[in-house]
Amino acid sequence: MSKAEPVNETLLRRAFDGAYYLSQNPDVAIAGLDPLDHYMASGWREGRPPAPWFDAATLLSPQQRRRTRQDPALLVFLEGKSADDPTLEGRLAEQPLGKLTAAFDSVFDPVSYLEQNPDVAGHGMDAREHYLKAGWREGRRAALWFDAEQWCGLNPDLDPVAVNPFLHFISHAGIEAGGEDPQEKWLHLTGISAESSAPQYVTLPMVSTAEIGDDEAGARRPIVVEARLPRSADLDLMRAHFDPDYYRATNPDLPANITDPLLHFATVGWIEGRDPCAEFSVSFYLKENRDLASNPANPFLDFLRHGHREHWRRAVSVREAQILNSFSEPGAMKDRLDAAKALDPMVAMPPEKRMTTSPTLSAKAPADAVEAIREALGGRRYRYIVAVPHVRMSGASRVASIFATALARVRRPQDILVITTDSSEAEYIGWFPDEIDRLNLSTLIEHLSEEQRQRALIDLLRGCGAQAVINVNSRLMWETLEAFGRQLASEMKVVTYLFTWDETPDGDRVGYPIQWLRHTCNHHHVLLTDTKALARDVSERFGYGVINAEGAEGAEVLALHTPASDSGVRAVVAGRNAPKRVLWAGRFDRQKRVDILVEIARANPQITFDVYGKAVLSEARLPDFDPPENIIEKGTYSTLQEVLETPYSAFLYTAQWDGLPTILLDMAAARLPIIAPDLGGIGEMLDDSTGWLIEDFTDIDAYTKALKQATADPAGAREKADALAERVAATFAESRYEAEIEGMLKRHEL
Amino acid sequence: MSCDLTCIITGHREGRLAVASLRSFWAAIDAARAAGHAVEARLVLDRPNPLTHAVFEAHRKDAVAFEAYDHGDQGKVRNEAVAKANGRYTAFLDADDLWSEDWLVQALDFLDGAPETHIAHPAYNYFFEQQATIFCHVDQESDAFRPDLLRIANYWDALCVCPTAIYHEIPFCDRDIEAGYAYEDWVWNCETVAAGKFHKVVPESVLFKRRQNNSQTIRASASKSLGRRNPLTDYTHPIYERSATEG
Repeated sequence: MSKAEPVNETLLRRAFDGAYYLSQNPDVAIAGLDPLDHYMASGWREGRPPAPWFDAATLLSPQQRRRTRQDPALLVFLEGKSADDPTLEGRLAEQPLGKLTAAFDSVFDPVSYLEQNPDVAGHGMDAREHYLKAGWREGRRAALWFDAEQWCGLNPDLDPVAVNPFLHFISHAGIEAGGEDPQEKWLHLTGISAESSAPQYVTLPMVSTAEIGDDEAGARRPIVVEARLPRSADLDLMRAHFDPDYYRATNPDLPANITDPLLHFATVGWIEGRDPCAEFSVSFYLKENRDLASNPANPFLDFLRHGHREHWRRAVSVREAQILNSFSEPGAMKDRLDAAKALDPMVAMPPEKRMTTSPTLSAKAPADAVEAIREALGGRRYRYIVAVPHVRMSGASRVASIFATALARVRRPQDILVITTDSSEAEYIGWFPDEIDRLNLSTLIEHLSEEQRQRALIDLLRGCGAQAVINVNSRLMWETLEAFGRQLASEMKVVTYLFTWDETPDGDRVGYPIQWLRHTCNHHHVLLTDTKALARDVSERFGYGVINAEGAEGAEVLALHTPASDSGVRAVVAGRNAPKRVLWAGRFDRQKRVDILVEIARANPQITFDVYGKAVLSEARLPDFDPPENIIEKGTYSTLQEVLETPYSAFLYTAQWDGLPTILLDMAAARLPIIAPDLGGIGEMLDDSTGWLIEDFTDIDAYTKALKQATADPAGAREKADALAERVAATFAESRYEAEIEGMLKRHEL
Repeated sequence: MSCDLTCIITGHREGRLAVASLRSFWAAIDAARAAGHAVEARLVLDRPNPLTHAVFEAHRKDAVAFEAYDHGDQGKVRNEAVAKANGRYTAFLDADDLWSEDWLVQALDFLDGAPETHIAHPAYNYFFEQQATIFCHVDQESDAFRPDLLRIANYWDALCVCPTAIYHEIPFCDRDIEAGYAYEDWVWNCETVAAGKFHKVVPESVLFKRRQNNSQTIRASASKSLGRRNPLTDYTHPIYERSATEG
């Protein structure tokens, strides 16, 4: 097989569409990188197309595609093709804008432009961008030989305000990148010689004879390069990282009249081995990346353009370079190292490039975080930390606020700190009393790794003298307990609020009371539950209160009935002759089994079902459940008052699993008769004397029977509702809740 | 105190790796003596295996003590060893690490005339064998030192030269890996800083630290250990008011 012809560079430049590449890769454009250089260096590996017409998947054969693992895909495609390949030409011809851009770039001389326009250079602007945006209107020259005024004189139809004369010339003269010499075209079309039209200017040779680096043999060598004014884009790139104060401070020998230290560095400074900032050592970069020696370009620029992405390159700070050099260059430190190697040659291992480490850098982010936390707390101490994930519309947030309020009543509010750990959502922060301090921890630690966040939380708990941490669904607290629970439990009391589990579509139980509790079961002093049913469940599963051992007392499991707040709203129970209307309100999520509601409605066409709610954990909508006509979607509500202005016969509740939903407590307080399944803690408030408790949550007949009773006998239903309201008032009283908490705190000496 | 410096090397199960460490130990002591310092050496073992015991025995030279403990706790062993130290200063070496030959001389020169609160660390820990890093120690009186950082990361290791009185005043805390507590040297650093001592860096000095895959530090990290609570873990410690004022 004959070796394919190497790709002609002209062909490559014509096929590669720089303007397209920059438009598709803003990171390259922003970094001021040469698009072709970028494509050849790394873009092809990253799958970035070199031109809009180029699709490596369809234009390359399977064999060629394998080659692209070694070569840029465009090179493989162009291999053996000639510049006049009709296929290629045709494709390129479809890209007039690309051609014009390429032609412009081949003619425009940014160095010359900056030399002519020191004001542009001085402001650090990109020459090309400046010319195309404003320069041509200001009469600045794109090329020394091109005189816009003369071109406009030859083209009277050309509006020199609306159309860039230079682009007009390129387009009308048929200038192409790599094609005929544009100056000759100019001469041919205008009869004006380039020399006669060009302004006079003087170039300032900048040559350094400073010694830099060392060659393979280790000898210092003088480097003489032609130092040219760098491109504006390059200056911009360097300016973002260049430290002029550092440059002046570390180079006291600089002439005092240097106005722009960056220009000095970019022209002769780097050649003389001067460093642009504390973070980058020029001499170390050159020494460690010897392949750059053959191309004497500014190493700082090389690093900013490409090197920082090239994992084989080494760049270190000036200080690191000094340390590393001290162990490799003749001197006392190298002598000490050599002596250690003589004692044990393993000191030279591992055979890798050595790097310096310091907690100053490696631990900066977590140190900043814990410093911010400490300062935010302002030296205040807190005995009780209540950890919540966020404060948004959720049962856990609501319970956390009720618990914190009760805690503030039985203990001092100033001893309590509420921390939000997982997200900064705090829409309902007003649920917490103003006299309790709150800290949005999540924003202070969001940039840290998982373990760093856990350690920051521990730092806070220790730092403010916490004697107890009360976790109300904080994921960070659960994770911290899983990793560091044995230490935390030995340093403070761990109180954990549990709510009902979730169920998978297969009906398997998951969530905090299941796998999270299994991984932390030895690290809780108190487990609070919102229902007796859940308390019983976790006690049975883990043997809490039954199986104890020295040093592992096991958690106290305490069911705390969340106090029901009586808003004073009273339902109007529909009379016997009123239209039969039932209320349903809840989330359209899987747990709430809207499908069962629909079945019940189908089985009871004589009843109208007003349905309030929306999906929270899914995208489900009520129409997705194909509701019959007697289900009326009412949207969401803001106050219970507006809902209960309509007379209803009963409140219907459906679900597959549950704890003790607060909506039932609200309806009980409003004295609306309730029909609900026997799930979780619902049976702790509802029975035959206080409502209708449906044994099997899927039993449509049982629901239907209850609905018939409720609608047929409004007086009987009202009696049950009154009995329920009394029970709730007694069982779910704030005073009882606070007394339970007080007892728990005393038992645990808190 | 009957001498200038007590040098303590602690061994466990290092076996033949301890040979190089003991050679560096004695070479540094010889250099210090040659510089005119009175130095005593103490060879200390904690639950050693027979080979490590034999290696120590073979390098006993003029050590004033050759002791074996059954603690399984580096902090306890150091505390007991330093309790018998006769030197004004005490220097520790672990039996898989290496001192530079002139480390002791550099440190004693550095501490000469310094306040009794000063603790001398090498500028660099040169890690070798499984880790190619040079750990840079930070001078507590430099701008780089932050007390907040010391709560969550350790600035210095235990192979320092320290006034013996400081070890008596602030002993190492117990390690309890099972309960989740390790890093006794880090906690000691916190406690000494909290007590007003100063961790200083001896310029142009280096120790060589062997990093093996089963090092105690790596084990402690993998087992989710914490340092014990100490005065610096409390946000109300006065050092934070000082740093705020200085800042």
